[in-house]
Amino acid sequence: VSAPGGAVIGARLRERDLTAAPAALNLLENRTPEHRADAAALLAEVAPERLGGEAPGHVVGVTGPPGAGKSTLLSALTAAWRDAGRTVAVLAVDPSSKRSGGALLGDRARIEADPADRGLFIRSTAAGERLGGLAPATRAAAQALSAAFDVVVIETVGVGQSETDVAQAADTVAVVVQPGSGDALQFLKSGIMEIPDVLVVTKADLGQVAQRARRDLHGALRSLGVRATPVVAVASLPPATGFDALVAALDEHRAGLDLPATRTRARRLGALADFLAEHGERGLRALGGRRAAESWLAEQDPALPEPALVRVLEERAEARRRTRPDLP
Amino acid sequence: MDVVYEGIRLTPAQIARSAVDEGVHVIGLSILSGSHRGLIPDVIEALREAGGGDIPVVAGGIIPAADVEPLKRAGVAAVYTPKDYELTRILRDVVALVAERNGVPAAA
Repeated sequence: VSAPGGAVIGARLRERDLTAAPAALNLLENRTPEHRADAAALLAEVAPERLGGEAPGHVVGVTGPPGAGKSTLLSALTAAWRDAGRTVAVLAVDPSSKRSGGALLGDRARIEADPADRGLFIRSTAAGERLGGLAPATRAAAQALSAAFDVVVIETVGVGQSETDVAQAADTVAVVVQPGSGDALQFLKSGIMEIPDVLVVTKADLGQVAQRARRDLHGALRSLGVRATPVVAVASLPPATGFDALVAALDEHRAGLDLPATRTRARRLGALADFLAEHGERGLRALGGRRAAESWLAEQDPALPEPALVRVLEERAEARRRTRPDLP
Repeated sequence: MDVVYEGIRLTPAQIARSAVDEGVHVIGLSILSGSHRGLIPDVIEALREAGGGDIPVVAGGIIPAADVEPLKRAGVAAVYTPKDYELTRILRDVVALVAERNGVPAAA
């Protein structure tokens, strides 16, 4: 199958051509060395420099424990966004098998979509080797698609490492909690879970149980000294309720963001994660440790796309090795 | 290999759209209802319309021997029935099919 080059696909995304999305993802997910330069060319086309600012799409992380109702919630939430005329891309992340390296991606089957609707794009992605985390391709995909779509959702399972990864990659993180489970309360209190931007309690149709879950979460947030985090109760099954409030809460968080700062931080942390995945602890030592690597990144042009930042780190490691033969 | 599981009772339009969005290398259709003679060519037609006409389709299910040739003429790459119980061989076939369609040598 011959595919157009990364720069061509990137330019189509920049012009908000949604039909370029599958080809963009095919390229970004292909990690063979000959495709890396092409992927970098794609991302360069949708970098702030070419766009004249940060990509306009809202990158929303949706995460929560298995069974919390994320897929059902996304069916109703994407419908609400589409009704409002916004285009939506969903990146549904499923874990990879540690044993085979492959993955069974079943999430798509649970998100309802109209196959004739070109304004909604759903892509399943495997988490890859990073246990519970995000594959580098998923971050790149979110960056690329946010140039073309109004909303890009990264959906992940779990509370813990994956949530931290999503927090880095997304503008706004919504944690989904089901009533009566108590999970979120425990995680919040113990500090395992970072404070999400929006908390969503599903299954509001359960009535009192859902109301109590909402009150408990408010209480936990108060005891942690964060009153501002909205807690939204939704019922995803028809008749769906609470989605206007959820859309408003997500929009409000985004409106209050310093977007260039958030995205620059995401690209820098993402580049460091990519560099680590490629060069390991040995590479990090050559950079003088994580702190030194982060301050080196902080000196770079904020508009540089992630692959360019990875190259900056690689060149830095090489330069330091040349002057300091003791480095690994 | 990543497998995108789509669930059951899908329309040809849903299958075609998912395959294109997901950028798959091969589509496996399982059909037990006896409606393969109509539905499988419908899927292939829907794929062409959705811009996925180059994605190979393999089918498995309760498919009489007499229907295999017509399906292949309609564009199906391979048909498997309950007589084909050697899973490893089927997997090798699928890997070889994907390799051939993408112009890469198949690994053993």
